[in-house]
Amino acid sequence: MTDTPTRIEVDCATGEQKVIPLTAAEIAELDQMRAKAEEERAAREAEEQAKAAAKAAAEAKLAALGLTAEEIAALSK
Amino acid sequence: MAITYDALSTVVVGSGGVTSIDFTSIPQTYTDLLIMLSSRTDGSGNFNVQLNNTTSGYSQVRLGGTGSGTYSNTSTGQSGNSGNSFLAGISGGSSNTSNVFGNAYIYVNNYTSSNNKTLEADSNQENNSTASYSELFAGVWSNTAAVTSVKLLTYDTGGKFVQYTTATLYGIKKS
Repeated sequence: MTDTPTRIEVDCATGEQKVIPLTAAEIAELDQMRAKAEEERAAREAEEQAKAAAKAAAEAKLAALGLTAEEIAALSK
Repeated sequence: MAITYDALSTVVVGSGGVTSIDFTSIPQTYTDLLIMLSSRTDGSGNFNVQLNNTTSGYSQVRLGGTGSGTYSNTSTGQSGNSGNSFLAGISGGSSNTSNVFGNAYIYVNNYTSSNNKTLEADSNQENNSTASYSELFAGVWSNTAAVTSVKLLTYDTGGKFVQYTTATLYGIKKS
């Protein structure tokens, strides 16, 4: 069994501080946001991987055409 | 011109950590707000800022140094635990030197005005290794409501601010 997540709420008017367990709705919302964040992270990583793969493929093709590593590097600057 | 800083509230996170630190019922009698944060999370160390529990209207740019390079990004809203909010900075994280906390300031300009609100933040990871991040953040919250609450959240999935994370909210009066 995991502990219920909590938040700290400070009432700046009174100075009162409360540690409040998240409600079921807040936990559900949190879970939803976590899932969304995971999706976005996976999408970002996939995009970066695709870009890296395309770059490597392009460099390989240029090398096959006879360009040196220095010449290929100069193209990407 | 006199500028006064009043410490309105200080929070020290207790055992077990918390998912967020919420400053509520912020007095509307100051010009600007400042949050000084000493924090560490149980994840990457990134933290978010959300205003008035609102999940829209956030646009931002971040600049960072990693210890071996630099990065920058611009976005409209950031996800993570907070849903749409500012991804405002970096603090200590689980992969950093044990018990090392990062520090940050978060500044909210003209928080009671009926115009959109601008924020800036400066943060770092204070990590004693090659990978040690520093970040500058600037953002605009496209919302004309006065800021009455500020929520600090960790960015990471299921993340928490760990024990001894400390946040102080200041009201700044320009007169």
